Amino acid sequence: MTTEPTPSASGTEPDTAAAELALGVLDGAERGAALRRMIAEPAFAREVEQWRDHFAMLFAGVADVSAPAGLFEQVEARIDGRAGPQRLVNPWKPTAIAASLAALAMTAVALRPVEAPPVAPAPIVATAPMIAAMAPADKSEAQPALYDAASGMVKMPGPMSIPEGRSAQLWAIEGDQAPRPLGTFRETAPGMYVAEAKMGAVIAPGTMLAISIEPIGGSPTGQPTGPVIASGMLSKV
Amino acid sequence: MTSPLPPQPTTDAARARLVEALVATGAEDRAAFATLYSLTSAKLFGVCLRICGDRGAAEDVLSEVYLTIWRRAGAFEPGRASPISWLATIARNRAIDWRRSAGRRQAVTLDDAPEVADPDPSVEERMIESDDTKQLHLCLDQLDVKQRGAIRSAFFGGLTYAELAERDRVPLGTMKSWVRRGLQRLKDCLSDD
Repeated sequence: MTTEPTPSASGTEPDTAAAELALGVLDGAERGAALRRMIAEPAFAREVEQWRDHFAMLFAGVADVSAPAGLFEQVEARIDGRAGPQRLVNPWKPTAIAASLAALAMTAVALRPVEAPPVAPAPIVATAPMIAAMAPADKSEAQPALYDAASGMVKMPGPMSIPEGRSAQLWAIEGDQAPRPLGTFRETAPGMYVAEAKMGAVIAPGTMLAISIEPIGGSPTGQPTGPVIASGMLSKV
Repeated sequence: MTSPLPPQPTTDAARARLVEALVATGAEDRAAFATLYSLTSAKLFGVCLRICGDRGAAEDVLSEVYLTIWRRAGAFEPGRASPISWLATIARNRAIDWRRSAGRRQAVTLDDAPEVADPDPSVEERMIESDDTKQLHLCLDQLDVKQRGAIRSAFFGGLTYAELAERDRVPLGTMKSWVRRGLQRLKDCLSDD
Protein backbone atom coordinates (compact mmCIF):
# COMPACT_ATOMS: atom_id res chain seq x y z
CA MET A 1 0.00 0.00 0.00
CA THR A 2 1.43 3.36 -0.95
CA THR A 3 0.16 6.87 -0.66
CA GLU A 4 0.31 8.93 -3.80
CA PRO A 5 1.18 12.57 -3.32
CA THR A 6 -2.04 14.49 -3.49
CA PRO A 7 -2.11 16.76 -6.52
CA SER A 8 -3.05 20.37 -5.99
CA ALA A 9 -6.70 21.29 -6.28
CA SER A 10 -6.35 21.85 -9.97
CA GLY A 11 -3.59 20.81 -12.28
CA THR A 12 -3.22 24.28 -13.77
CA GLU A 13 -3.29 26.52 -10.70
CA PRO A 14 -0.03 26.93 -8.82
CA ASP A 15 0.17 24.81 -5.69
CA THR A 16 -0.25 27.13 -2.72
CA ALA A 17 -1.36 24.44 -0.27
CA ALA A 18 1.78 24.72 1.90
CA ALA A 19 1.24 28.45 2.38
CA GLU A 20 -2.48 27.93 2.95
CA LEU A 21 -1.84 25.29 5.60
CA ALA A 22 0.73 27.47 7.37
CA LEU A 23 -1.63 30.43 7.25
CA GLY A 24 -4.52 28.34 8.59
CA VAL A 25 -7.14 29.17 5.97
CA LEU A 26 -7.94 25.59 5.05
CA ASP A 27 -10.62 23.58 6.74
CA GLY A 28 -12.42 20.27 6.36
CA ALA A 29 -11.25 17.96 3.60
CA GLU A 30 -8.75 20.46 2.16
CA ARG A 31 -7.02 20.77 5.51
CA GLY A 32 -7.03 17.01 5.99
CA ALA A 33 -5.48 16.53 2.54
CA ALA A 34 -2.77 19.12 3.25
CA LEU A 35 -1.98 17.54 6.63
CA ARG A 36 -1.61 14.16 4.97
CA ARG A 37 0.84 15.70 2.49
CA MET A 38 2.83 16.98 5.49
CA ILE A 39 3.51 13.37 6.34
CA ALA A 40 3.73 11.87 2.88
CA GLU A 41 5.92 14.53 1.25
CA PRO A 42 9.01 15.76 3.12
CA ALA A 43 9.50 18.61 0.63
CA PHE A 44 5.96 19.79 1.29
CA ALA A 45 6.55 19.63 5.05
CA ARG A 46 9.70 21.75 4.63
CA GLU A 47 7.78 24.26 2.54
CA VAL A 48 5.08 24.52 5.21
CA GLU A 49 7.80 25.17 7.77
CA GLN A 50 9.33 27.89 5.60
CA TRP A 51 5.96 29.56 5.24
CA ARG A 52 5.41 29.31 8.96
CA ASP A 53 8.67 31.20 9.46
CA HIS A 54 7.68 33.78 6.85
CA PHE A 55 4.31 34.41 8.46
CA ALA A 56 5.89 34.48 11.90
CA MET A 57 7.53 37.72 10.78
CA LEU A 58 4.10 39.27 11.23
CA PHE A 59 4.56 38.76 14.98
CA ALA A 60 7.25 41.42 14.83
CA GLY A 61 4.47 43.95 14.31
CA VAL A 62 2.62 42.94 17.47
CA ALA A 63 3.27 45.22 20.41
CA ASP A 64 4.80 43.68 23.54
CA VAL A 65 2.56 43.80 26.61
CA SER A 66 3.88 42.99 30.08
CA ALA A 67 2.42 39.72 31.28
CA PRO A 68 0.44 39.91 34.54
CA ALA A 69 2.40 39.50 37.76
CA GLY A 70 2.23 36.03 39.23
CA LEU A 71 1.50 34.26 36.00
CA PHE A 72 4.84 32.49 35.89
CA GLU A 73 4.32 31.21 39.44
CA GLN A 74 0.92 29.91 38.37
CA VAL A 75 2.52 28.05 35.45
CA GLU A 76 5.14 26.56 37.77
CA ALA A 77 2.45 25.46 40.19
CA ARG A 78 0.65 23.70 37.35
CA ILE A 79 3.86 21.99 36.25
CA ASP A 80 4.30 20.72 39.79
CA GLY A 81 0.68 19.63 39.92
CA ARG A 82 0.00 22.05 42.75
CA ALA A 83 -2.62 24.02 40.93
CA GLY A 84 -5.96 24.51 42.56
CA PRO A 85 -9.11 24.51 40.47
CA GLN A 86 -8.01 26.10 37.24
CA ARG A 87 -10.28 28.23 35.17
CA LEU A 88 -10.65 26.31 31.96
CA VAL A 89 -9.30 27.99 28.90
CA ASN A 90 -11.12 25.72 26.61
CA PRO A 91 -14.43 24.67 28.12
CA TRP A 92 -15.70 22.03 25.79
CA LYS A 93 -19.43 22.05 25.97
CA PRO A 94 -21.28 18.80 26.63
CA THR A 95 -23.21 19.36 23.41
CA ALA A 96 -19.97 19.55 21.47
CA ILE A 97 -18.82 16.33 23.08
CA ALA A 98 -22.09 14.65 22.20
CA ALA A 99 -21.78 15.94 18.66
CA SER A 100 -18.24 14.68 18.26
CA LEU A 101 -19.23 11.31 19.70
CA ALA A 102 -22.10 11.15 17.26
CA ALA A 103 -19.72 11.98 14.44
CA LEU A 104 -17.39 9.26 15.60
CA ALA A 105 -20.22 6.79 15.82
CA MET A 106 -21.00 7.55 12.20
CA THR A 107 -17.47 7.09 10.95
CA ALA A 108 -16.59 4.18 13.16
CA VAL A 109 -19.86 2.32 13.06
CA ALA A 110 -18.60 -1.02 11.81
CA LEU A 111 -15.88 -1.44 14.36
CA ARG A 112 -15.39 -3.96 17.01
CA PRO A 113 -15.73 -2.32 20.40
CA VAL A 114 -12.85 -0.37 21.81
CA GLU A 115 -12.48 -0.45 25.52
CA ALA A 116 -14.57 2.24 27.15
CA PRO A 117 -12.72 5.40 28.09
CA PRO A 118 -12.88 6.58 31.70
CA VAL A 119 -16.20 8.25 32.40
CA ALA A 120 -15.43 11.58 34.00
CA PRO A 121 -13.36 13.92 31.86
CA ALA A 122 -10.42 15.30 33.82
CA PRO A 123 -10.47 19.06 34.35
CA ILE A 124 -7.26 19.77 32.49
CA VAL A 125 -7.20 19.29 28.77
CA ALA A 126 -3.91 17.42 28.79
CA THR A 127 -5.12 14.55 30.94
CA ALA A 128 -8.51 13.89 29.34
CA PRO A 129 -8.87 10.78 27.21
CA MET A 130 -9.24 11.45 23.52
CA ILE A 131 -10.31 9.54 20.47
CA ALA A 132 -9.58 9.84 16.77
CA ALA A 133 -11.33 8.22 13.84
CA MET A 134 -8.35 6.95 11.85
CA ALA A 135 -9.19 6.96 8.16
CA PRO A 136 -7.06 4.42 6.28
CA ALA A 137 -5.28 5.67 3.17
CA ASP A 138 -6.97 2.93 1.16
CA LYS A 139 -10.33 4.54 1.97
CA SER A 140 -11.65 1.52 3.86
CA GLU A 141 -13.60 2.00 7.09
CA ALA A 142 -12.18 4.35 9.71
CA GLN A 143 -10.97 2.80 12.95
CA PRO A 144 -10.95 4.51 16.33
CA ALA A 145 -7.69 5.24 18.11
CA LEU A 146 -7.94 5.93 21.82
CA TYR A 147 -5.36 8.15 23.49
CA ASP A 148 -5.09 7.80 27.24
CA ALA A 149 -3.04 10.73 28.50
CA ALA A 150 -2.61 9.16 31.93
CA SER A 151 -0.69 6.18 30.55
CA GLY A 152 0.56 7.99 27.44
CA MET A 153 -0.69 5.11 25.30
CA VAL A 154 -2.58 5.12 22.02
CA LYS A 155 -4.66 2.00 21.43
CA MET A 156 -6.19 0.86 18.19
CA PRO A 157 -8.07 -2.28 17.23
CA GLY A 158 -6.63 -4.16 14.26
CA PRO A 159 -6.17 -5.52 11.78
CA MET A 160 -3.20 -3.38 10.84
CA SER A 161 -1.32 -4.37 7.71
CA ILE A 162 2.33 -4.04 8.63
CA PRO A 163 4.74 -5.56 6.09
CA GLU A 164 7.18 -8.18 7.34
CA GLY A 165 10.29 -6.60 8.82
CA ARG A 166 8.75 -3.12 9.21
CA SER A 167 7.15 -1.13 12.02
CA ALA A 168 4.01 1.00 12.06
CA GLN A 169 4.93 4.31 13.66
CA LEU A 170 2.59 6.85 15.19
CA TRP A 171 3.00 10.60 14.50
CA ALA A 172 1.40 13.70 15.96
CA ILE A 173 0.90 16.86 13.94
CA GLU A 174 -0.21 19.97 15.76
CA GLY A 175 -1.38 22.91 13.74
CA ASP A 176 1.17 23.50 11.06
CA GLN A 177 4.10 21.99 12.95
CA ALA A 178 6.26 19.27 11.48
CA PRO A 179 5.14 15.73 12.38
CA ARG A 180 6.36 14.71 15.83
CA PRO A 181 7.45 11.07 16.15
CA LEU A 182 5.69 8.96 18.75
CA GLY A 183 6.15 5.24 19.38
CA THR A 184 5.74 2.25 17.13
CA PHE A 185 2.76 -0.06 17.41
CA ARG A 186 2.95 -3.50 18.90
CA GLU A 187 0.18 -6.07 19.09
CA THR A 188 -0.55 -6.49 22.79
CA ALA A 189 -3.49 -8.83 22.33
CA PRO A 190 -4.93 -10.40 19.19
CA GLY A 191 -6.27 -7.51 17.11
CA MET A 192 -5.25 -4.81 19.61
CA TYR A 193 -2.35 -2.51 18.81
CA VAL A 194 -0.71 -0.14 21.25
CA ALA A 195 1.83 2.63 20.70
CA GLU A 196 3.49 4.76 23.31
CA ALA A 197 3.53 8.54 23.13
CA LYS A 198 6.96 9.58 24.35
CA MET A 199 7.48 10.72 27.92
CA GLY A 200 6.59 14.32 28.49
CA ALA A 201 4.78 14.62 25.18
CA VAL A 202 1.46 16.37 25.38
CA ILE A 203 -1.19 15.64 22.86
CA ALA A 204 -3.98 18.21 22.65
CA PRO A 205 -7.42 17.93 21.06
CA GLY A 206 -7.24 18.86 17.39
CA THR A 207 -3.93 17.07 16.94
CA MET A 208 -3.73 14.97 13.80
CA LEU A 209 -2.52 11.43 14.42
CA ALA A 210 -0.99 9.51 11.54
CA ILE A 211 0.56 6.09 11.11
CA SER A 212 3.35 5.42 8.65
CA ILE A 213 5.29 2.30 7.73
CA GLU A 214 8.91 2.62 8.81
CA PRO A 215 12.00 0.50 9.37
CA ILE A 216 11.85 -1.67 12.50
CA GLY A 217 11.86 0.51 15.59
CA GLY A 218 10.72 3.65 13.80
CA SER A 219 11.97 6.27 11.35
CA PRO A 220 15.72 6.83 11.61
CA THR A 221 15.39 10.47 10.51
CA GLY A 222 12.79 11.74 12.96
CA GLN A 223 10.49 12.43 10.04
CA PRO A 224 8.21 9.96 8.27
CA THR A 225 9.97 8.05 5.49
CA GLY A 226 7.39 5.46 4.47
CA PRO A 227 3.80 5.42 3.24
CA VAL A 228 1.04 6.70 5.51
CA ILE A 229 -1.54 4.02 6.18
CA ALA A 230 -4.05 5.97 8.27
CA SER A 231 -4.69 9.38 9.80
CA GLY A 232 -7.31 11.09 11.93
CA MET A 233 -7.94 14.08 14.18
CA LEU A 234 -8.07 13.68 17.96
CA SER A 235 -11.02 15.06 19.86
CA LYS A 236 -12.05 14.83 23.47
CA VAL A 237 -14.35 12.04 24.52
CA MET B 1 9.53 37.64 36.74
CA THR B 2 10.52 41.01 35.47
CA SER B 3 14.20 40.74 34.68
CA PRO B 4 14.40 42.92 31.60
CA LEU B 5 16.18 42.30 28.36
CA PRO B 6 19.71 43.63 28.37
CA PRO B 7 19.80 47.05 26.74
CA GLN B 8 19.75 46.91 22.93
CA PRO B 9 20.87 43.35 22.37
CA THR B 10 21.86 42.60 18.85
CA THR B 11 19.44 40.36 17.01
CA ASP B 12 21.94 37.52 16.84
CA ALA B 13 22.86 37.67 20.51
CA ALA B 14 19.21 37.80 21.54
CA ARG B 15 18.45 34.85 19.34
CA ALA B 16 21.35 32.83 20.67
CA ARG B 17 20.25 33.53 24.22
CA LEU B 18 16.73 32.47 23.40
CA VAL B 19 17.84 29.25 21.72
CA GLU B 20 20.00 28.44 24.72
CA ALA B 21 17.13 29.01 27.16
CA LEU B 22 14.71 27.03 25.02
CA VAL B 23 17.04 24.05 24.58
CA ALA B 24 17.79 23.97 28.32
CA THR B 25 14.06 24.19 29.05
CA GLY B 26 13.71 21.09 26.88
CA ALA B 27 16.03 19.37 29.36
CA GLU B 28 13.64 20.41 32.16
CA ASP B 29 15.90 23.17 33.50
CA ARG B 30 13.62 25.36 35.61
CA ALA B 31 16.02 28.30 35.79
CA ALA B 32 16.29 28.32 31.99
CA PHE B 33 12.50 28.20 31.79
CA ALA B 34 12.31 31.26 34.04
CA THR B 35 14.80 33.03 31.76
CA LEU B 36 12.81 32.01 28.72
CA TYR B 37 9.69 33.41 30.33
CA SER B 38 11.33 36.74 31.12
CA LEU B 39 12.67 37.00 27.58
CA THR B 40 9.45 36.14 25.80
CA SER B 41 6.37 36.66 27.96
CA ALA B 42 5.74 40.26 26.86
CA LYS B 43 5.88 39.26 23.19
CA LEU B 44 3.72 36.17 23.68
CA PHE B 45 1.23 38.04 25.87
CA GLY B 46 1.02 40.65 23.11
CA VAL B 47 0.24 37.88 20.62
CA CYS B 48 -2.41 36.30 22.90
CA LEU B 49 -4.01 39.68 23.56
CA ARG B 50 -3.95 40.56 19.89
CA ILE B 51 -5.75 37.36 18.93
CA CYS B 52 -8.08 36.90 21.92
CA GLY B 53 -9.01 40.57 22.20
CA ASP B 54 -9.84 39.98 25.88
CA ARG B 55 -7.38 40.38 28.71
CA GLY B 56 -8.75 37.69 31.02
CA ALA B 57 -8.80 35.16 28.23
CA ALA B 58 -5.33 36.18 27.08
CA GLU B 59 -4.00 35.56 30.60
CA ASP B 60 -5.51 32.08 30.72
CA VAL B 61 -4.21 31.32 27.26
CA LEU B 62 -0.72 32.57 28.16
CA SER B 63 -0.63 30.19 31.10
CA GLU B 64 -1.56 27.31 28.76
CA VAL B 65 1.06 28.50 26.30
CA TYR B 66 3.90 28.28 28.82
CA LEU B 67 2.68 24.93 30.06
CA THR B 68 2.80 23.72 26.46
CA ILE B 69 6.25 25.24 25.97
CA TRP B 70 7.52 23.49 29.09
CA ARG B 71 6.25 20.16 27.90
CA ARG B 72 7.23 20.50 24.29
CA ALA B 73 10.53 22.40 24.42
CA GLY B 74 12.41 19.13 23.99
CA ALA B 75 10.97 18.88 20.47
CA PHE B 76 12.40 22.24 19.40
CA GLU B 77 15.08 21.80 16.75
CA PRO B 78 17.47 24.77 16.85
CA GLY B 79 18.71 24.29 13.30
CA ARG B 80 15.27 24.06 11.81
CA ALA B 81 13.08 26.74 13.24
CA SER B 82 13.52 30.25 14.56
CA PRO B 83 12.96 30.16 18.34
CA ILE B 84 10.64 33.15 18.48
CA SER B 85 8.60 31.83 15.52
CA TRP B 86 8.30 28.50 17.24
CA LEU B 87 7.17 30.07 20.51
CA ALA B 88 4.88 32.63 18.94
CA THR B 89 3.27 29.93 16.81
CA ILE B 90 2.36 28.00 19.96
CA ALA B 91 0.85 31.20 21.38
CA ARG B 92 -1.04 31.87 18.17
CA ASN B 93 -2.40 28.32 17.96
CA ARG B 94 -3.57 28.31 21.59
CA ALA B 95 -5.15 31.75 21.24
CA ILE B 96 -6.94 30.71 18.07
CA ASP B 97 -8.17 27.54 19.83
CA TRP B 98 -9.64 29.81 22.49
CA ARG B 99 -11.32 32.02 19.91
CA ARG B 100 -12.81 29.00 18.25
CA SER B 101 -14.15 27.55 21.47
CA ALA B 102 -15.46 30.97 22.54
CA GLY B 103 -17.73 30.99 19.52
CA ARG B 104 -16.93 31.29 15.90
CA ARG B 105 -19.97 33.37 15.20
CA GLN B 106 -18.67 36.17 17.34
CA ALA B 107 -15.30 35.99 15.71
CA VAL B 108 -16.50 36.49 12.18
CA THR B 109 -18.97 39.35 12.46
CA LEU B 110 -18.00 42.61 10.85
CA ASP B 111 -18.22 44.47 14.14
CA ASP B 112 -15.73 42.20 15.76
CA ALA B 113 -12.97 42.13 13.25
CA PRO B 114 -9.97 43.71 14.91
CA GLU B 115 -7.75 42.81 12.00
CA VAL B 116 -9.50 45.42 9.87
CA ALA B 117 -7.80 48.06 11.98
CA ASP B 118 -4.60 46.13 12.31
CA PRO B 119 -1.87 48.72 11.95
CA ASP B 120 1.15 48.09 9.82
CA PRO B 121 4.34 48.08 11.86
CA SER B 122 5.61 51.52 12.77
CA VAL B 123 8.71 53.00 11.22
CA GLU B 124 10.50 52.51 14.52
CA GLU B 125 9.56 48.84 14.61
CA ARG B 126 10.73 48.41 11.07
CA MET B 127 14.11 49.84 11.91
CA ILE B 128 14.81 47.04 14.36
CA GLU B 129 13.38 44.38 12.10
CA SER B 130 15.62 41.67 10.81
CA ASP B 131 16.23 41.51 7.08
CA ASP B 132 13.82 38.59 6.77
CA THR B 133 11.07 40.56 8.43
CA LYS B 134 11.69 43.55 6.20
CA GLN B 135 11.52 41.28 3.20
CA LEU B 136 8.13 39.89 4.24
CA HIS B 137 6.70 43.36 4.80
CA LEU B 138 8.10 44.63 1.52
CA CYS B 139 6.52 41.70 -0.26
CA LEU B 140 3.20 42.12 1.56
CA ASP B 141 3.23 45.78 0.55
CA GLN B 142 3.22 44.69 -3.07
CA LEU B 143 -0.09 42.87 -2.70
CA ASP B 144 -3.33 44.70 -3.12
CA VAL B 145 -5.16 45.85 -0.02
CA LYS B 146 -7.74 43.07 -0.09
CA GLN B 147 -5.17 40.33 -0.44
CA ARG B 148 -3.01 41.77 2.30
CA GLY B 149 -6.02 42.29 4.56
CA ALA B 150 -7.23 38.72 4.06
CA ILE B 151 -3.80 37.27 4.80
CA ARG B 152 -3.39 39.34 7.96
CA SER B 153 -6.92 38.45 9.12
CA ALA B 154 -6.28 34.79 8.53
CA PHE B 155 -3.03 34.98 10.44
CA PHE B 156 -4.18 36.99 13.44
CA GLY B 157 -7.81 35.95 13.53
CA GLY B 158 -7.41 32.31 12.68
CA LEU B 159 -10.06 32.81 10.01
CA THR B 160 -10.51 30.12 7.38
CA TYR B 161 -11.46 30.75 3.76
CA ALA B 162 -15.11 30.18 4.59
CA GLU B 163 -15.00 32.69 7.44
CA LEU B 164 -13.08 35.28 5.45
CA ALA B 165 -15.64 34.98 2.66
CA GLU B 166 -18.51 35.35 5.10
CA ARG B 167 -16.92 38.34 6.78
CA ASP B 168 -16.24 40.16 3.55
CA ARG B 169 -19.50 38.95 1.97
CA VAL B 170 -17.91 37.53 -1.13
CA PRO B 171 -18.35 34.07 -2.63
CA LEU B 172 -16.01 31.43 -1.22
CA GLY B 173 -14.40 30.84 -4.62
CA THR B 174 -13.64 34.54 -4.98
CA MET B 175 -11.96 34.67 -1.59
CA LYS B 176 -9.92 31.57 -2.35
CA SER B 177 -8.64 32.93 -5.62
CA TRP B 178 -7.79 36.34 -4.08
CA VAL B 179 -5.79 34.74 -1.33
CA ARG B 180 -4.19 32.11 -3.59
CA ARG B 181 -3.06 34.78 -6.03
CA GLY B 182 -1.75 36.81 -3.12
CA LEU B 183 0.15 33.84 -1.72
CA GLN B 184 1.60 33.04 -5.12
CA ARG B 185 2.82 36.64 -5.51
CA LEU B 186 4.22 36.53 -2.02
CA LYS B 187 6.03 33.31 -2.82
CA ASP B 188 7.55 34.78 -5.99
CA CYS B 189 8.58 37.92 -4.14
CA LEU B 190 10.10 36.08 -1.19
CA SER B 191 12.13 33.74 -3.38
CA ASP B 192 13.29 36.67 -5.48
CA ASP B 193 16.39 37.68 -3.55
